[in-house]
Amino acid sequence: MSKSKQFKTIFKAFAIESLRNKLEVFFTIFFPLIFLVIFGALYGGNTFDDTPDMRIGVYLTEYSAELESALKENLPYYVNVYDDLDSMNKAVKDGDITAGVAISEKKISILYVEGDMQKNSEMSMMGNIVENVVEKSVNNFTDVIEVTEIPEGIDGKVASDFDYLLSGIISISMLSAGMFSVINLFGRYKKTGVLSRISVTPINPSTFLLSSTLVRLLMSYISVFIVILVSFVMFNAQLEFQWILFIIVVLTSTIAMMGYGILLLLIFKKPESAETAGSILMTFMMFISGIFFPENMLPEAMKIVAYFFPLKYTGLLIRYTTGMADISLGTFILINVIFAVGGIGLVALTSKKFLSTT
Amino acid sequence: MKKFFSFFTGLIKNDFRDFQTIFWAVIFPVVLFIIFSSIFGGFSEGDFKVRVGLVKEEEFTGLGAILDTVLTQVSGENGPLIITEYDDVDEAVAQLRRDKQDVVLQIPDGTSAKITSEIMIKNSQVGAANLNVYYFGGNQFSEISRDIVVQIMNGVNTEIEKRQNNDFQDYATQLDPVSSEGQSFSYDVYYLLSVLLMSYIIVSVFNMPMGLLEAKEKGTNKKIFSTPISPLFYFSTYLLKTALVGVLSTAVVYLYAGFISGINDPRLYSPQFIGVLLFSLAVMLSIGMMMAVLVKKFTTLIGVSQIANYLFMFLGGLWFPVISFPWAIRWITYVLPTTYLIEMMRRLIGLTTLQMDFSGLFLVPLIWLIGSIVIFFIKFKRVMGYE
Repeated sequence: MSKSKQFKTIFKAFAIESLRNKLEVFFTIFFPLIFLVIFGALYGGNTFDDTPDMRIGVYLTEYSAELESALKENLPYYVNVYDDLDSMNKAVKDGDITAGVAISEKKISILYVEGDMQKNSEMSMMGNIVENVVEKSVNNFTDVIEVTEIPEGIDGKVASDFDYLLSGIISISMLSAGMFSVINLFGRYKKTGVLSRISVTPINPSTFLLSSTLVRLLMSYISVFIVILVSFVMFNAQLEFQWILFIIVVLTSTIAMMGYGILLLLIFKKPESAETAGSILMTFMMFISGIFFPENMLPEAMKIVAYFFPLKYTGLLIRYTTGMADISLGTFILINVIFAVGGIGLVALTSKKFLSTT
Repeated sequence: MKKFFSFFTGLIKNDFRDFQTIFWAVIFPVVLFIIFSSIFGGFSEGDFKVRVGLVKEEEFTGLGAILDTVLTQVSGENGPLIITEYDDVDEAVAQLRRDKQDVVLQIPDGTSAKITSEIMIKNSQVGAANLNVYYFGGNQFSEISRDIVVQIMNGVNTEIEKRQNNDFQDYATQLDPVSSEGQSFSYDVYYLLSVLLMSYIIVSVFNMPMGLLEAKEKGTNKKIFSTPISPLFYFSTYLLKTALVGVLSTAVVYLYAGFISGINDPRLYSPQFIGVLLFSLAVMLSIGMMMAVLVKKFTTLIGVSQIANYLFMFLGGLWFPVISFPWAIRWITYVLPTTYLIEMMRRLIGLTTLQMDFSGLFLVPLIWLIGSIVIFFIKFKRVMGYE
């Protein structure tokens, strides 16, 4: 059998096997979708920043039409004015409004429900904003210094919080597709004896390797595009992709994540243990790589740790290809080359090892 | 009794020989607690620095020097800002785009003159001094940094007015969290409760059904049932063993919290709190039992367990209060038992994130508990593999 025919046959077999394997389909395609739906909903409907869809309540112990109008005009939130404190408190507790502002003589109280990591600092910020508007209105003074807020982006495009999140979820989908598929592939095939059977056939190890990794790469592309499609349909994503660069990043990042999976398989021997370690590392990486929370808010030690995990760089590359990060072309190429060379090297070396020792 | 003890010990030993069981159910919750408290310790306390790229297009003169004083007061050792000066706004904005700065403050030429005339001649025709704050859209931290800089400038305006107006009416702002009703709120304790419930989720959605299904698929059950051990006896012992793993996990989390993290809230040891923990474990284990009968294949179960794990964890309000969710998804949170179980635990340490009577919190988990047990026993023969 010619090499190309051999490749075609094995590729087809791997593709069918992968699609039939529910676990692989789950980790590659559905797993990132779960994150997209959960965090997309959280980011899409809940805004604790100063976007206008944050709804707050205001209760004035001594009603003043001027103050009410000043608050409605100047606060960067939707303002509902309440006639009594109890109904405002109830609205806060029921989640109908994010915060309640009770303004009495010389005192402003901000009522809110605790339990969200960012909320304390955000509520403190809100307190300052409200205080400023109230004092300005009551004392009837104008600002000596005015501040104009200018949003910046790459090439004039300003991204949203959700776009940022989406870039992170795309990175997770590549991590999940690359890392778990390889653990699954070599781990399961070794355990079930498939590798030992293949090693006694005339199949060239490089053909085996190429066809198996190509199937996983295709699965990764499918996963990424499903995530993008769902995010556009469900969450009205606004990302603009530089498609050629994006396709390159998906390729190199998935290869790098495969290498990462191989590394775990080498360390942990048993595929189940490697899968467990992979899940733990993935959870850890998600929190320290700036996917769900801004990296700059992490303690210094955590920021340093993040440099050792590939998810940070994948996120950066995705943001670059979607106009949300500005890195030099040299850096972009360097990271991609390291990803590709490192990933291919690890996969090649290990697959040889797996095929020769079985 | 002797038979029970010997079989129970065998099952325990079998579990503890498996690294996965111990790691996921017993050690992982503590690992996650360490990660969360270290990551969000600084986060919730607002203990972070803001990198500000400053572009001064003039040397401050006259009353404009007030800006210099304020910026010195809030930067370096004194405040949250780390200031780097740039000659050109384009260069500073380029650094903002490269994430080398969090925000850029541009003080244009003529600012000092405007500040001086506005202060000296009230309502002068010159107008207010206009500063520009550039931030990176979509980057949460850059947006927070922008708000900090804006608030500092608002503070300057207020301070100027206060010095000029002897009758200035000053307001004091107070944060009044309704969830803790005046009691101190600790994120460490808050996450500790989440971790405790998360360990029960792991034991229930992973260990419980997987062990049952694996034993059925491998034919271990059949071998066991060929001995005098009855299916009910086997299941009771298995259930008790799984519950013990859950209890052990709780003990490890308590030990870590008490001896290493220094969390010694006496309310965590009250009989009511322990009762809620046991009730939570019972509810979650029953769900695990139901999963074992509803999912036929082990490979399918791995996927279902992962989905259940993330749904119970994230949508159950373990990490974010459920009222943070938009209504499109909030209704799911109200169906999940974990939403109420975590709320019960929080109530017992003085937190309220869900408006409902304490007794009312039992309803949904009880429905899950009873429903799961009924479904399990209807299909008992199938999951035990002897129908």
